[in-house]
Amino acid sequence: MTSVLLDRRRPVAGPPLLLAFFAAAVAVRVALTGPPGAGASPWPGVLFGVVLAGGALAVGTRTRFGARVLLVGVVATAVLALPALVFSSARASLPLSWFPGWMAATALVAPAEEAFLRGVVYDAITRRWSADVAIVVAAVAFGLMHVPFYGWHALPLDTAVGVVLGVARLAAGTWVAPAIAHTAADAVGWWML
Amino acid sequence: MTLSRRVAAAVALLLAAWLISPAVVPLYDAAFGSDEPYRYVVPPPGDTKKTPPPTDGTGTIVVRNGVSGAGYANSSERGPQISVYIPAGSLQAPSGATRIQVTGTPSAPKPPLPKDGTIVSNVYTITATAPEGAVAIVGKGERQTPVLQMRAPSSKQPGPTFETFDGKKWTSSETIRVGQDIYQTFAPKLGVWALVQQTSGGGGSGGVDLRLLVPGIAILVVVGIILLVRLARSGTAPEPKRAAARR
Repeated sequence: MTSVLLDRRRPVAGPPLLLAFFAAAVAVRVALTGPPGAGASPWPGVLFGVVLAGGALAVGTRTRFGARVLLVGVVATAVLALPALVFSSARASLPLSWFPGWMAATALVAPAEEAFLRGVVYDAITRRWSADVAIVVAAVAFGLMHVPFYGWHALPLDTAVGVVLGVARLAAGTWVAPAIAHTAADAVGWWML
Repeated sequence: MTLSRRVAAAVALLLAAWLISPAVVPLYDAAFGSDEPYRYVVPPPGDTKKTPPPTDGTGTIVVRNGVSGAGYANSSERGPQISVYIPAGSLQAPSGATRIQVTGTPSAPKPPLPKDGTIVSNVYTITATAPEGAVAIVGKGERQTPVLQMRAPSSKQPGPTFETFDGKKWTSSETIRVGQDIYQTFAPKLGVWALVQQTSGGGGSGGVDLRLLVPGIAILVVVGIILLVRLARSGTAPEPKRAAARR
C-alpha cells in the first residue's frame, strides 16, 4: 500500500531558508538542554522533534509507505547496526523500565529529523542541484547537529550515518525509509549504553 | 553514479568513520536522554540529594592471541559515571588467560589531594586483572591506548580535567569534552583517576543559554513567518511551470 500524505507540489522554501530553520531549532534545543548532570530534561529533545515535524508538515515532502520502503529501512538498519555491534559491545546496563519512555521520545524525534533533513531539505536541494548534493548536505547538517552533545570527535561517524540515511532516502524515494532505519538504529543503541 | 555504487560508498564511509572514531559513544542519537543526579561515595558539603551508591564500572574483555580484544567497562548509572574503553591489542594477558576483567571502583577523595584544584567526581581506581596472573598495557599509539570517559556532576564550564594519582602526587592529563558533562582522556596507565576542577577556572553558569536561545527563537519565528506567507501565496497563485521558469 502506498500513500502520499505530505506531498506539496510547489516548493515554498529553498535550502538556505530550511537550513537556517534547522540550525535555529538545534540552537534552541542546545540552549534549553541545560546541565544534564543535574537531571536533564528530555523535553528540549521532544520540542526539537515537534518543531522539525511542524516545519516538515508546513513545507511538505513525499511520504510513502510500502514493501520497498520497509525493505530499504530494514537494510539500512542492518547497515547502521552491524558495525556498531562489531566495533562496540552490548551492555544493556540501563534499567529496562526507562526504555519505553526513551523509545517513545526517540520514535518522535528520529522520524521528525528524517522528515525534515531527508524530506524537505533533501527535496529542496535535489530540486536546485542533485540528489548527491542533497545526501551530502543533509548528512553534514546531521553530523553537525550532534557536535554540541558529543563533541567534534563524533562528527565523522554521525556524518557517515547521515550519508547512509541519505542513500536510503534515495533508494526508497521517501524519508520514511531512513526514519525507520534511524529509529531502529537508535533502539539498538540503547542496548549498548 | 548508480544506486549500488552509492550504497557501496556509503557503507565504506561508515566503516571508515567507525575505524577513525576515538572512543566511541556507541550511539547514533541519544542526546535527549536524561541523566540521573551524580552518585557520590561521599557527597560534597551542602549536597543533600539522596542517591543510590555509585556502581563499579565492570567489563570482561576477551583475549585473542594473548592480547585483549576491544571492549568496555561501564558503570550502570544513567548515564554511566565511568566508561573505560579497551582497544584491541592494548592489554597483554598472562599465559593461558582467556578473559581479562576490567573494573573501575569508586571511592571518596582522600589526602593527598590535588594542589591545583578540587576533585569534583568520585575517585575511580581502574584495574585489569586475570586469574592467571598480571595484566600489562602493551598497546602502542593512540589507537591501542585505553580511553577513559567520566561524567562530571554538572556541565559547568570551564569544566574539570582528568588527573591521575601515582601514589605520591596528582598529575593532569590532557582532557577533551565529548558530551555536555562527559570528559575523555587517554589512560596509558590504569590506576587512580578523578575529575579535578582547576582552581584557576572560575566555572560557568550552566542552565539555559540565553545567548543561544534568543537568536534561535528569533530565527525560528522569522523563518516561520516567511513560510506562512509563502504558503498563503502558494494557495492562491497558479502552479508555476518548471520549463517556463527555466526560460
